Amino acid sequence: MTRGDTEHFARPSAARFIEGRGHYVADIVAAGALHAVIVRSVEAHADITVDVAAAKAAPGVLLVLSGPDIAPLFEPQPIVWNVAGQRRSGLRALAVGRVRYVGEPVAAVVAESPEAARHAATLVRVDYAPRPVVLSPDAALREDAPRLYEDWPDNIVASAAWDGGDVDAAFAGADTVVAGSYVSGRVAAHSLEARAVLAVYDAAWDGVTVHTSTQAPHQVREAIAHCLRVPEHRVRVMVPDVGGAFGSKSCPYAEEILLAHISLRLRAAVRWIETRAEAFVAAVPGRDETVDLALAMAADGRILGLKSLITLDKGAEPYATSVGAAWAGAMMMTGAYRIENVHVGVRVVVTNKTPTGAYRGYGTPEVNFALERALDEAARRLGIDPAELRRRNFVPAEAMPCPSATGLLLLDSGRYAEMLDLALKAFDYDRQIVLASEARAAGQAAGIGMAFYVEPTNLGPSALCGMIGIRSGGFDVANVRMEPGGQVVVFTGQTPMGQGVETVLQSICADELSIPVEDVTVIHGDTQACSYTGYGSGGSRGTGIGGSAVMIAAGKVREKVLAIGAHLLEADPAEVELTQGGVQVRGDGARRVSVAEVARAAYLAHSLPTGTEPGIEARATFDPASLAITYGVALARVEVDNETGLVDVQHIVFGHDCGRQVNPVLVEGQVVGGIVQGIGAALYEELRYDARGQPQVLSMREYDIPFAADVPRIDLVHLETPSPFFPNGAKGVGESGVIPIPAAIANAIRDALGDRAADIVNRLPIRPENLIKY
Amino acid sequence: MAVPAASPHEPSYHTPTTAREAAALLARHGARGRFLAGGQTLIPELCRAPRALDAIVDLRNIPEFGRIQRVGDHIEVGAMVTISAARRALAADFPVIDTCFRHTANSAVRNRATLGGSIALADPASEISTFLLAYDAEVLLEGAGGGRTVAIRALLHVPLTHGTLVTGVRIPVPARDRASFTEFLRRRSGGRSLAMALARIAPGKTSVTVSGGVTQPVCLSGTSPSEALAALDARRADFESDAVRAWVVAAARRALAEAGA
Amino acid sequence: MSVPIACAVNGRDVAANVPATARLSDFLRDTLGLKGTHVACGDGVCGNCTVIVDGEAVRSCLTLAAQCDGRAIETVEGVAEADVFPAIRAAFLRHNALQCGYCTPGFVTTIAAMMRDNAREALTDAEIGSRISSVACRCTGYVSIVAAARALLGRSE
Repeated sequence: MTRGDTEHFARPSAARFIEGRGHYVADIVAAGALHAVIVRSVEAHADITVDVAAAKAAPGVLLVLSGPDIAPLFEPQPIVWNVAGQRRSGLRALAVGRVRYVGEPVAAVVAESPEAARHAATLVRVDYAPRPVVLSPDAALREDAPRLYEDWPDNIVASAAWDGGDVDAAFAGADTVVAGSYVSGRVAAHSLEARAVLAVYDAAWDGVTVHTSTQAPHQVREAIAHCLRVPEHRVRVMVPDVGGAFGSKSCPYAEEILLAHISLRLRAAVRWIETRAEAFVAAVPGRDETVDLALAMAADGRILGLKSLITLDKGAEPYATSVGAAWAGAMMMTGAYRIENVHVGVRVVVTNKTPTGAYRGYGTPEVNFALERALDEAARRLGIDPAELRRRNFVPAEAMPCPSATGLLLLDSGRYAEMLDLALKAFDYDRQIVLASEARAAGQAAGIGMAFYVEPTNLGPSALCGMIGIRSGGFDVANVRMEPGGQVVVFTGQTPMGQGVETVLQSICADELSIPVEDVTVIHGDTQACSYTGYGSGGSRGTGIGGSAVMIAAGKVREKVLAIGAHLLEADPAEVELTQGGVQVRGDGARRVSVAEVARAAYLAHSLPTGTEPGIEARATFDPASLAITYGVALARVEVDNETGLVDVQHIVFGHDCGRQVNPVLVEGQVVGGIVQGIGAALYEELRYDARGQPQVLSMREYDIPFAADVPRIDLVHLETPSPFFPNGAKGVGESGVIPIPAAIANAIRDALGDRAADIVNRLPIRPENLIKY
Repeated sequence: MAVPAASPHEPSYHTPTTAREAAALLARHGARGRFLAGGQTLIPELCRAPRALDAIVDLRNIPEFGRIQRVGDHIEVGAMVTISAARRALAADFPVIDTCFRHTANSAVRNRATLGGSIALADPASEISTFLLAYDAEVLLEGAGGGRTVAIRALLHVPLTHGTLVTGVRIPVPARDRASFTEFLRRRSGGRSLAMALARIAPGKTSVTVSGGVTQPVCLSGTSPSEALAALDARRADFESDAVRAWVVAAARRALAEAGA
Repeated sequence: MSVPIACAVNGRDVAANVPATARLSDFLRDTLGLKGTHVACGDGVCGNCTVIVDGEAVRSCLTLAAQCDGRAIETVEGVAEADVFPAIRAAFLRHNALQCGYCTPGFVTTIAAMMRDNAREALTDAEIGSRISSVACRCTGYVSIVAAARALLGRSE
């Protein structure tokens, strides 16, 4: 990959999208496919009875299902992240007798046309006997709070705590304690392609192919088989192009299970396309977490101790990724710093809102926001420069791999101080501090803020997954096959969703085999063809884990190609090398066979080295020994209009280290994309509910994702410190951008406005209404 | 080419060539008929309630609805002139229109949204309403009783009777004045307006037309900017919150300052 | 009621009878099989459904097929065959101006219309900014898209 060579495009396979030849689930032509519409609860908490008679009788309707219809047939939805002692809801794909959030699926209508299905859906009668609603953890945790689940003693899904050292002593001996409550608001991943499912029955194998926009085809397949009580070989999942996901498509959904059932039941093809309004209430949102944090500080800036309580508002049901974000946040709580005395508590609470799930960063942004805000306050209180304060607390490079005090996190490799210096220099930090101060003296509310971050990537060691409750392993399997003509096919469980993983795997394989990239094809998204991957494409694991599996498998192919090539050349295997698409004797270009000739020989099998099997195909698994910790820092300059409270983010410098960058252009794309999502979360985006639990955001008019003019000047700097635990040295980077941005912007606003903003900026999004100086 | 069969519930679709014909068509269908101008508001409504209408009366074939012409000391703009087209065509006589309409919806919606549709919608946070009010526009209507003219101000607070058709607007061409427009948006790129102000300063007369939050545009005037601001201050209670008030006042001050600069 | 329309789509004449309430986006995708136009919000906000009608960028989700009688419509597929396309393709690839590709057709049509308008009379920077900010992308963070667009319009970054 030649960076800087403009005609050597970083992702040539992207050309078809520019021509309008992307191929998403809604684009699949399935003549005669039926259409499904999901009827959803309009109450936040109620007992319900459902009458489908009128809907069933409507023209063009083939089937109407409600909860009682499927309850005896379906298993409850699986939970991706199970922890010991966590409570379950027994949720099935359609509500039975009771609804707990606006948007909960209540019935499914199947008809011959979208119009007929939509009309029949209006005829489904749902009678609601409303119950009192709880809309916040505080409300849900009160003694007398209405309970969402009668068989639970309270509204807590699960809770846990981890300790390291002696936190009480640390706080007793502190020179100052900084404490706060840091709130990350509820946001939508808001991929531009909402969800879509096309389930196609095939009589030839009495099974169903489920085309769905997902990050985790194997997990969806497992969930469908489990919930419908059918053997897995009757279910195939295929993923075409995915129009963005960001975590919101990483869990199996009720609609996938319902559509598969309907298809099998009717022996027909049936399609469901999510509307944007549905996406806002039915796709899993992210964040909605409060981190109560206290730091015990020494006068010289060292962090003596940390106490925190992470409270995750899970919404109405603990399915999908369940407690995961809170647990992941607990793991990441101590960040890049050496903190020997730690107490981290987590609790996950149900409320009458849409169930939350995975969203880019998955717990890390929430705790980063708290930690980096608190450190900023500590710096002010102690009179130490914020950057210097970080420096004094970093885990040094030579101490790595370094476990955190709770034992949850292993910082594998990194040069934190060097990264900070690199970014400060790019930002011209010292001068910017002075300029901002001068501006403020002249009446302009300018401010500088920073946030350092660490990010768990390459999820993850299967044993770790098991230990922390993830229902699957974290390994990856890759198959690499050289075809009789010498081209190579890579079969991967990774799923592209815009990040370019298919390009990365293609190049890793091509590099390993010294063949042109054009000779490698990557097959993905098909559970029938593609190898199983434990966790889908999430946890920033595509390049590090998927790529490592491909590298190892390609390496095995490479060995076989060399062995057969040596055999054909009648040379000693030790004498030959693989170079420029052929095997040749080192130093003797005349004695050479092409990869194509090697492949032909392998598939003819007329003469192969002793003990060599015909064909060329290799399988490799990769199960990492550790997570890989990517890290970096964001620096922001803002100007706030005191009269209006409007925030102008003027400049961001973002430093990151994701280990070896296999494709630097794609890395940059991920970082910048994440930064802009972070800006959205910091300043604009929020899924709000009213006092009755009615969602206030049902269209893009009410949900402000950033557009081009909202993006400030962004400069990137990077280091490449390989992870010792990954063959290709690569760490993940997909979630980096979004992690430190809210804290950096919040700190900058606080710097700009002074003490009056110190509490206001602890709640995201930071709204202009709350910054106006009257 | 597979075309879905129109269901029996599809509304009838009409393309009359005169305003009178259009008004008559709508009168025939009452509440179950709607005028279709640019469609930027009606079409999402149609999709939310597909069976609510019996008739759609598309106004695009009425020739005079596309007019932009100087009539004496007024400019007449037909109801179907798009926001984009109006922004271009009126720029010479109303230089402030370029910034004023810059954040109406987005550039593509502006290519279809119409002046008439905008007036009929009377969205409080409408740059179009603010502009028309600031320039004392009159709205030309066609209804059951024939044609009439009303000041834009009257239409901002009392919705048009269903079936009344906006046929155009008549805007007096301003004598030399300096005008400036300030708007605060939640996002720099656009989205919902928080508050806006269009200031006009002429010898002996200053006006500032503001809107904010859910409050319809209102025009405050005086002999000087400070008088106009005082008039605005007297109307503080019109605005729904401290924040909206703050934005409205800030927008007014800045627009006046820039106009006077 | 069925409404007869006769229009041009990507340079080819199309005659059809369409339901009165059929959206142009659905007509293009489902009736004509042109899947490149994507619906993402249905409210005209995101711009992913943008097509060119009589030279102007419009939201196909906020246009009725019935309104298109007598009009010339150009979708991303049409732009892909037009003179402006090779430069657009190269710029998007060079700048890595897409990731998942879902919003890309909306940018391609918007930018194609801009390029043609700009060739007639130079667009102001404010107008360019306004039009580029009319299409939502969730993946790229826009920096690469803006760079590609400005390069195509002959402006410095």
